[in-house]
Amino acid sequence: MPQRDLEIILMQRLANYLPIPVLLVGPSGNLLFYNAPAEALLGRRYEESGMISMKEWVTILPAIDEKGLPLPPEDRPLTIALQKRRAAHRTYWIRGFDGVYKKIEVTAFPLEGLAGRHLGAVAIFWETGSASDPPGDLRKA
Amino acid sequence: MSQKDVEIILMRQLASYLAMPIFLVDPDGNLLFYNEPAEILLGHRYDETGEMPVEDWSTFFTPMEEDGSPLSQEDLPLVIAFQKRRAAHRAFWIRGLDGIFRRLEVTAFPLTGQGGKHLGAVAIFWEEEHPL
Repeated sequence: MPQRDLEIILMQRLANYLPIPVLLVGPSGNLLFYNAPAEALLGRRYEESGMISMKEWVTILPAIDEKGLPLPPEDRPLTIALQKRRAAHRTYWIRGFDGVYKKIEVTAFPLEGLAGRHLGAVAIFWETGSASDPPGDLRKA
Repeated sequence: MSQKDVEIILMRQLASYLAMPIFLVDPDGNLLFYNEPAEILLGHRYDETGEMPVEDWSTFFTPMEEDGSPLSQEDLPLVIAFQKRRAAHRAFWIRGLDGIFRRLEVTAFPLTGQGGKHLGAVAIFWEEEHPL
């Protein structure tokens, strides 16, 4: 495993203590870590998924808006935090690794270290509902 | 200083290494810590003020809506996060003690510990400077 910045290590350590799902990505969007509550939300243990690229995780964790339409990666809070380096907040649905649809509220923010180092971004999730069928228009498709 | 939960200690430690202004409050809204970038917004150094009750720190700046009308305290993301225990995100203006108007974008989220213990909330700020 490559050596990580202290801020990333501290964020990961904090996430391990929190009972809310937390996901951490590196500057290029590679998934660096998600905690145990996020494992329950995403339907897969972190040890099983490991470090995956942004291209992979946006594909295997599809996001759907409130109307049931696919949410483009660039509209997801974590992508906004990472690419535009600002916080973002949104409610949408995801289909987890386990195939279950979950309605989530997501707050994401960039991790900016001292001396302008861009370290990645953090997403914090609140699950507000779940369903075995896709929401809205996607069901009709 | 009273003994702090490990989540608070870690959040504070993390905040001290980050370049974004960060406030950390307890479940009653009392300011437990703010990092160096946040000192510029508050106009006070943490080493000088230490922890502060909500009645004190909330008077350090005047929050305003985009149209300049006053923003009530309960509409502040940090207040929503610690009172309603949910994340909140909003842009608003402040006029700090230095007289400078700043447009802030704020994300705040509650800090919940093991067993659902409510530990407080965190606010992270992004600033645009607009001297008027």
